[in-house]
Amino acid sequence: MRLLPRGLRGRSTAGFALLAFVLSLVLSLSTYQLARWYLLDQRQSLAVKQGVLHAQVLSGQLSGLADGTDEEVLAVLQQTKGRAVLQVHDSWYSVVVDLDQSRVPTALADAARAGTPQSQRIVANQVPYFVIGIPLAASDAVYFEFVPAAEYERTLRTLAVVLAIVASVTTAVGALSGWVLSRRVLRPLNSVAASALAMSEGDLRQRLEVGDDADLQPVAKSFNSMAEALEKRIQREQRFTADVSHELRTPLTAMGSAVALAKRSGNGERTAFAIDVLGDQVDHLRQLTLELLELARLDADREEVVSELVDVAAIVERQAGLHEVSAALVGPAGIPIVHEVNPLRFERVVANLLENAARYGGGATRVECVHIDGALRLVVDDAGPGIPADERQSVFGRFHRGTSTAAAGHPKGTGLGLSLVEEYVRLHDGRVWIEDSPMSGARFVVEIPGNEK
Amino acid sequence: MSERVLLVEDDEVVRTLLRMLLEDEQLQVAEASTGTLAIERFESEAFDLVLLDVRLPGMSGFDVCRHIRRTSNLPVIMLTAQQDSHDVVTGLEIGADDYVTKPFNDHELLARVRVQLRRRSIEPDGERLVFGDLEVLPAEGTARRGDHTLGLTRTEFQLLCHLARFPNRVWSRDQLLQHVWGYDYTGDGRLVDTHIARLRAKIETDPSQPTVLRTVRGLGYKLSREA
Repeated sequence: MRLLPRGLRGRSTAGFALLAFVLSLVLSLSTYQLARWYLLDQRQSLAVKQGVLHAQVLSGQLSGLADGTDEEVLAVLQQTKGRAVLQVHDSWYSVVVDLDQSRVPTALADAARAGTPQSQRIVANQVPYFVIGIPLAASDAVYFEFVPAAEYERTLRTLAVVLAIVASVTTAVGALSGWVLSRRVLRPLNSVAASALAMSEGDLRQRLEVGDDADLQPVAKSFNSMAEALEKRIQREQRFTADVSHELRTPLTAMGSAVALAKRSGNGERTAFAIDVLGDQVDHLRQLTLELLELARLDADREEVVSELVDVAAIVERQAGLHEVSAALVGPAGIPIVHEVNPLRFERVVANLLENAARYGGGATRVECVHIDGALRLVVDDAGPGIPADERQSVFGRFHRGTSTAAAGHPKGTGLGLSLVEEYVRLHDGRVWIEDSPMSGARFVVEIPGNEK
Repeated sequence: MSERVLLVEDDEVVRTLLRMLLEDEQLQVAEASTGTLAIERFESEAFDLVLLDVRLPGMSGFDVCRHIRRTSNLPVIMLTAQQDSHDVVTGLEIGADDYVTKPFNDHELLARVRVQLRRRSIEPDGERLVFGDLEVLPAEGTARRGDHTLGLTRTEFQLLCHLARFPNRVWSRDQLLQHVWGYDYTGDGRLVDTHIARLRAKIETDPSQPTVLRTVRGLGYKLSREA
């Protein structure tokens, strides 16, 4: 079992509570002790005074009763109206049956006999008493009296209860102030956490309010300067990618046109082969440039996707047709599935998934497009080697080089197709993930939520 | 009689190569390296098509397109930098008929060029299509609202003719791209949308509340006979 609570907040709450508890405990205990001592002292001196008074009266009466009978002595003793015990020489007289000489502490009796008045607190029959011993020198006797101390005990008990309540309330107040204070302390930390989270999700424009709290300003300022540096750096990289791709356009356009021209002129076999290779490479580079630019723009803008209601089934059917996935098309057969998407992007998603299946999975074996609880779900299965669980995230990375190789007859991919799928799906607030297909290949699942506004 | 293309592109190598490619298609090509030169040639010679780079030094391709549209419904194909950039939307809004993104491949470009050129040669005859006070005459290549002849670009007119030949039938964007623009693959829906918007601005009484050229949500567009 953990003794310390986890978290700053829990710890500071516990700390405050503990401090309040210890402080109130010390205060309560000392208050109790002081009060007890004071009350005892007061009550005892009162009892002694009373006893001395009774003893004086008794002493006078006893002196006029020298050598009186036991009954006479007892009668005199009873007049004191207290719970009195009297020792004359070796004889003991007591008024109350239970409270006799056996209840008188020996030390007290000896001291009184020696001439010193004494008092002591005892418990007889579960009732607390003060016992007072007063020597009656004139009669060669010792007078004892039991004064009830119950009231004093009750007062003390009430005090103890009150102090305990005060201590627990103080502890609770301590805990509460720890909780509240730590929340105030943590509030700026929470906003730092929220900003950092937003930044990690791509909102690089997040900044903290610097405010006028001298203790918090350095934190906010350093966070902001970090965010600024990060934003600048990322922007620079994005701009670099965009610029490079942009600069490649003109040469690529020229190269493409030049290759096209060269193909039209009659060439020898070797030249024709060389030109074909050149053409393929230019096409590849062109595709790569376009996709890089697209990704760079997606990174930079975080643009709102312009969606509209379209028949996604028609798009899926067309792409399935283009990729020759005719046999195993499950789902819509000419029945429109209307969903809010950006048609160009959605079509790209479908096309890229099918291309990916063709390139690495021997072609899609099954394409499904259905509405589930208002969300659009697109499933693309292949019968290829599948994708190992530990690669299922990284295949969406840019220029990911997986363990699998492209099927023969398929040109090399750009390594950006699945990245674009992920970006586009994210633009639609959707998700894409990979499972095992029933044919032991890979299954790509895209889910795009419906617009419930 | 071969058709004449005005090729406006500032990069000399690209321009030369494009000219050669177009000439291989039996087209006559006139070159212009700046917007100003392009307008000079447009004013003084007759063309069947303009191939227009958007990013030109000095006067931009948009300015050239605007200038051409003031007096002519000549087909204009823009060469743009990015498919999703504002270039495309701006270009289409000011009246370009189609666009090709750089870097393009030759098939893509030549296909677009052929579609725009073929467009003007196939006009069925004798038809007269009426939608309320809107009258479309495919043979004459004109459309009228009441007594007023509408100034439509060639693509706008083709779009209107296509919709008018099938009253009340709903056409998806892709179908329209296929029939009007000759796309045999998925194209940019904005191409259709901008042309529809421009068409509405010309044929509808209140373009924001279209009664003739209607949108069928999630499916496409139709030309509605009942007003």
